[in-house]
Amino acid sequence: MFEYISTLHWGIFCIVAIIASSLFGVLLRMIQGDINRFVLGFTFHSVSTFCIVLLILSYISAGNTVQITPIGIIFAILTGIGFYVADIQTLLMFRAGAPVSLGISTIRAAVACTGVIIGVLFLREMFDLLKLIGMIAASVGIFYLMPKKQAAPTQSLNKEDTEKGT
Amino acid sequence: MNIIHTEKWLIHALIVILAYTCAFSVMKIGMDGSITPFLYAAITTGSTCAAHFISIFLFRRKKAIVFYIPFYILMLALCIGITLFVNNVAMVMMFYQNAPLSLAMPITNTAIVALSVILGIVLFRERLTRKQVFGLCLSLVGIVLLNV
Repeated sequence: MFEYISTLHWGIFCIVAIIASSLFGVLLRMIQGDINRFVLGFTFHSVSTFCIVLLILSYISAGNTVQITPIGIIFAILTGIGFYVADIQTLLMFRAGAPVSLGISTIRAAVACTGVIIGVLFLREMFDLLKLIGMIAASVGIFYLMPKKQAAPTQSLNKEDTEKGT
Repeated sequence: MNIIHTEKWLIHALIVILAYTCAFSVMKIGMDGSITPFLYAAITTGSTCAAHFISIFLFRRKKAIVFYIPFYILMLALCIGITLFVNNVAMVMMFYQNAPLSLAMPITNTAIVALSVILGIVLFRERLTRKQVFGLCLSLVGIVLLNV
């Protein structure tokens, strides 16, 4: 199974990530009540870590060898810290009065653009005019897509708002 | 500078953008074959989990920390944790399979917003405004152009 997974095209993983991330957002909207966000965040990541540990154990039990280097560990920890900082700063951003729709669309569009800049400038990836137009269209589309009024990510949608389609 | 002074959230937004850009760039560079991708995902998620645990005590307010979570929220949290797991593994595997950062980032970010809006229509019976329909079409055209 793991050999087969390793041969799949990155586009398949991209689709899986998109679906999982969208479901993540939908489920997050269903949570309501006065719960400590860090306790909640810790719970999500604990479950996620537990699942990945199970995956590694099954990977090893299938006869595969685990490759590990100090630089790989450092990169992995840095990635984890990066996600954590993003989580915390998103929370602080909304506490500082960021409009939910504008805040999320700004981040999504900007991360899409910075990804392109880093890829082209530092990783020497190919990028043509058509892709540039596509990136601009996608980024502008994000701003139009986001509803003007939206419930906070960890709050459930108000029924009245839902009916109004906001 | 006046905008940043009046709109303080922009500073946090910039840090979020920087953090995500760094995290995904490091993930892309880190997937050079020096570490098993599943292990990479485990260390990444584990370190985020540890940081969240520390934050519970670091950012605590005057009132006592309540660790109690109602059953239905716990079930939701389990589901969210599983989606997070799938997302993390898929992201790591995506870069392990040499996904270009300049393509993967715009596609994932745009498609997540588009699919979230579609799911909102299907699950929460939300209605799309004309602007949103235009945005959805523009995003889809953008994704198609990026894949050409």
